[in-house]
Amino acid sequence: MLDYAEALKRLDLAGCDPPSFAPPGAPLRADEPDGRSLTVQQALAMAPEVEGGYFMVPPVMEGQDP
Amino acid sequence: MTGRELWRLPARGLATAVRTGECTALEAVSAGWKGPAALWEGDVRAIAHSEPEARAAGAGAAPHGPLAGVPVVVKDNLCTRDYPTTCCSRMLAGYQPPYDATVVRRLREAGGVISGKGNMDEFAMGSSTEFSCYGPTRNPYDLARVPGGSSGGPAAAVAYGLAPLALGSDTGGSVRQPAAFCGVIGLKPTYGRLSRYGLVAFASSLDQVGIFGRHAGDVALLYALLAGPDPLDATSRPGPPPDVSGWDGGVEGLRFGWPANLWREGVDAEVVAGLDEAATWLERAGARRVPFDFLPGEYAVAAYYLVATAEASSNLARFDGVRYGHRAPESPDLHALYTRSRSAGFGAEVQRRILLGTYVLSAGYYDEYYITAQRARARIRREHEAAFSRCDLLLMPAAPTLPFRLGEKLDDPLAMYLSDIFTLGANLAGIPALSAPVTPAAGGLPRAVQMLGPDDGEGLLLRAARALEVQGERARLERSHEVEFTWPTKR
Repeated sequence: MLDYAEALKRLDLAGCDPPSFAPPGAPLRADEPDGRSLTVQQALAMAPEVEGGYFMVPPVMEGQDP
Repeated sequence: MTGRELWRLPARGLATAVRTGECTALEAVSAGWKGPAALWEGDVRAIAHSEPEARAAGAGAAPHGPLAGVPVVVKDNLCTRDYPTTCCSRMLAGYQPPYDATVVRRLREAGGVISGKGNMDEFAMGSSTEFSCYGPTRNPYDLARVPGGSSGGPAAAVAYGLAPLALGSDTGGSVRQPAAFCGVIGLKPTYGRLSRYGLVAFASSLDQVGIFGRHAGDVALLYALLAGPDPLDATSRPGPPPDVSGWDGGVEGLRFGWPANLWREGVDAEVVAGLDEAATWLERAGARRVPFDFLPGEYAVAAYYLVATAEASSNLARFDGVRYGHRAPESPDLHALYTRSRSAGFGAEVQRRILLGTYVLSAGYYDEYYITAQRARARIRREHEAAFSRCDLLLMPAAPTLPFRLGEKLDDPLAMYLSDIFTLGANLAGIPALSAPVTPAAGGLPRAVQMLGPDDGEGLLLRAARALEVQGERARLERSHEVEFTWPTKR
């Protein structure tokens, strides 16, 4: 695939800047929609491990015992 | 009205039958499962998750609205609170979202009922629906052939009659190419017109929810119900969506582009014959052909696979066994946990794309590959804008071949990627595109053409699709009322 992509280097890209994907006129900051958060029970329903109302995850800091 | 007749109805007719009490919503939703699915589903395997209780509950809640009781197949990468959403990957086995995608919520509010979750290439990465952890979907018009991909399950289900409508996602042609291979209509809207909230991300700047249907009027109806701004999707386009109510308005005076240089080599003669037929039909309906040359599709393939894999490598980083997805048991350390979880959870094609995307984003190669691809994308967008200054829509193939055989391209990723050569330009440019069937090929396989429109050109595309529908029907039967869909014959 990378060999195939070499073809792009032969394309005249003068004046072609990488595009931006924000819609025209879109605000840089958006308000958080109200009333759409999950309950604790909903949030934990799919967790593989739960303890005391929290997600349990494997150790993610180097040096911790698994 | 019997169940046998109900599943043949267009979505609009089915909703009318429910609203007027001619049948119940449950009968409308069950008809496809009792009739055609009993014949086809065991062989085609279009559905990844069928939940009869969820279906019945949905029907019970949906006797009203413009889609009252209409069954809709939803691709397995759109979040649904009453069905699993696994992207047909071991990585998400058993996942059931606590919320609906915005398009699913709007579908239900209009009275639509989810009929099942459609099979797909894992995380929407593929063009044949062979890369699903549940096994491949087969083409109902020839069970030895693929239905296209990645939304092959929804396309095949609409084709054989399980539901009149389906939702898929189109990142590089994943709605239009399977629609073409299965003989149905497939619409990829303008980027930002259908909310991506609740669509599991593959390549966020390219992904769009798309619509399958057997009739242009049905696709127009569903588009009108689903399109529009969504505060939950920061990339949804503000302002009202394009009006598609004139889908039956004809194409008199429209100019369609005919980029003849695109299909001189590597395109099946049957595909070219289908294009000629579509051009003739559009001209007969009053449209005018405008020939011109166009940037070869090879550049789009190269740009697309660099941008898409780069975004995929970033989006899929969350599936690490800690935050999301399959967690490998008994890993001795964190590195082993990540490696084992991702190696076991992702299939070979997804791993290939993550590796390529990570490479093109890495230090030293970012400018050489990723930025070059993004600049090429800007040029491709510019080429499309220039084309639309001369014509209203572009006519081109949906795929370079008719449906290919299962296994034919599995060992040749580049050959598989090249089957998207005509579709991914619309994703790179962010413009709407639609594939529509024409007369089947000599052996009975579906044949289709693709039409591309300018930003917010969905109405134009649906008018052209309707014109092809009517002209095709005239060519067969010399009549112009609601057309009869060309159903598959089992072989």
